[in-house]
Amino acid sequence: MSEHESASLVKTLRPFHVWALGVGIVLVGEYMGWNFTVAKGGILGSLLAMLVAGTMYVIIALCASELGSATKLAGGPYDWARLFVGPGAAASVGLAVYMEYIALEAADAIVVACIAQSIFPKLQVFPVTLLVIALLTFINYRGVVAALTLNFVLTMIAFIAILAFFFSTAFGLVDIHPEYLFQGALPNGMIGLFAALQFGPWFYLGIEGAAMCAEECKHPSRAVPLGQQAGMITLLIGAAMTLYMCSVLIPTDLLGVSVYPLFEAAQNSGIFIFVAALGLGTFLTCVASANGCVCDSSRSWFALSRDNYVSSWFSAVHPRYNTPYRAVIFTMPVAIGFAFSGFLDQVITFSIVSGLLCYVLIPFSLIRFRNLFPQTTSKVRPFVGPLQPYIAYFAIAIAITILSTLFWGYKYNLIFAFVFYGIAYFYFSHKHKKSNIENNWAEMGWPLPRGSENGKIGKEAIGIGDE
Amino acid sequence: MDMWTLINGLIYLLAFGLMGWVLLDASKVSKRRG
Repeated sequence: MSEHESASLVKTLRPFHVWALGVGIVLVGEYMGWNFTVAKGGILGSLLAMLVAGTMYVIIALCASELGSATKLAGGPYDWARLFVGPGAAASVGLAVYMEYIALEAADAIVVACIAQSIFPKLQVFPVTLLVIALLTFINYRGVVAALTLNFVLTMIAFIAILAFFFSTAFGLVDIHPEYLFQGALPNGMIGLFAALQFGPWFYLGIEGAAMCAEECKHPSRAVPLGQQAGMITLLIGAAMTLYMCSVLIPTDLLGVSVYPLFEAAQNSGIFIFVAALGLGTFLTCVASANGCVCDSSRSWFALSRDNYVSSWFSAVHPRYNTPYRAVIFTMPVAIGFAFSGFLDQVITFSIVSGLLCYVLIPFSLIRFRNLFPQTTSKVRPFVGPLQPYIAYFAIAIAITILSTLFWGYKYNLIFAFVFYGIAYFYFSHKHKKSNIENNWAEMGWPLPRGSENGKIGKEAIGIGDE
Repeated sequence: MDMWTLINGLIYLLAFGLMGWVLLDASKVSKRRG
């Protein structure tokens, strides 16, 4: 019996943990980063980017809910691509998810250290970054329930801070400046609208990761769709409130270059309690985001390892804590390497490009899933998304459009990412053609995929039920 | 030695302590499994 067969991931998570994982990773993007849309396209550009990216993410979340609740596997996008597309796409998307989250964890840890240093100037960034990465690795090593319960508390505090600030602004407790909305509505013309799209994903980047805890959920068929859709609604509300508050409290030219826009908006309101709440919220969302990233990146690496895409040594599960402990530990040196590479902006851009690659392959996996398994029985498809697979094509078109806008300023990052994932695609396609891994549909309790009897689909989709 | 040097040193100590605990536990588990 191999190591990973003797212990398995524990099934204890509930819908609020799924919500906490998804929103915890993303909410930091509403506290900072999204405002670069304003620098490119003004308030209208930011609004358009929020709506276009929001549409794409709603569809991605629907796809992830359907695929996650059906497959109930820890690898998320990797496992969906492996089952429904092929080994090359699976390896590319598995690595993309890993890179997306690990780069984000490194960036979050540095921001936590920088915030701590801005409060205590003699504190050094290096040891605090190390401590954040080590502490989150420790928590995730000890158990997923503790890690995601912590995420729930941190995220809830940060979201309540946004809600409280919004309602006090809406009910006139804070002096607002509606003229800011018109002064910087469209500073760079129509081209600015298009250029702003590249920063739109900041509002929602990483929400698809909520489905990656499916294998550890008590009732994944219910928990994954419920947690993920609740998370997406939370983010849409949060994004709209954030854009409104910052637009009426910070002049557009300053908003576009602000490091902590929500905190700055609170400072401009002049009310101490909001300055403290939004300052605390900025800090807590960074910690929650890094914590969720350790969880998701380790699960992606664990899933890649379990299927021998990377060394199977990483697929061991801790006998006491039921966590993929070697995969969790492995996030630590990689995140430290990213954090101290000295190229933070490049690291974040690589994370976004990796994410966008996933947003092409997740809807594509759903289209393939619907083609292979047209049955709507609750065993195969416990959650059925509306208007699928038609809206999945639309999400792919939006993801490719946003990817193309990265040519403004991030041409070389884009080329590097395409070369990196292209090599991964061809290498793993070749490697796994030889090893001929078969999908075990019968073990999953599924019928044979459409076309398997008459040989219409490839070897990779033929299960043991064929015998 | 001023107070902030001491605090930064303690943060290093705590970070490496956590890393050490995790690595030690993982090696124990791996040994037990053979």
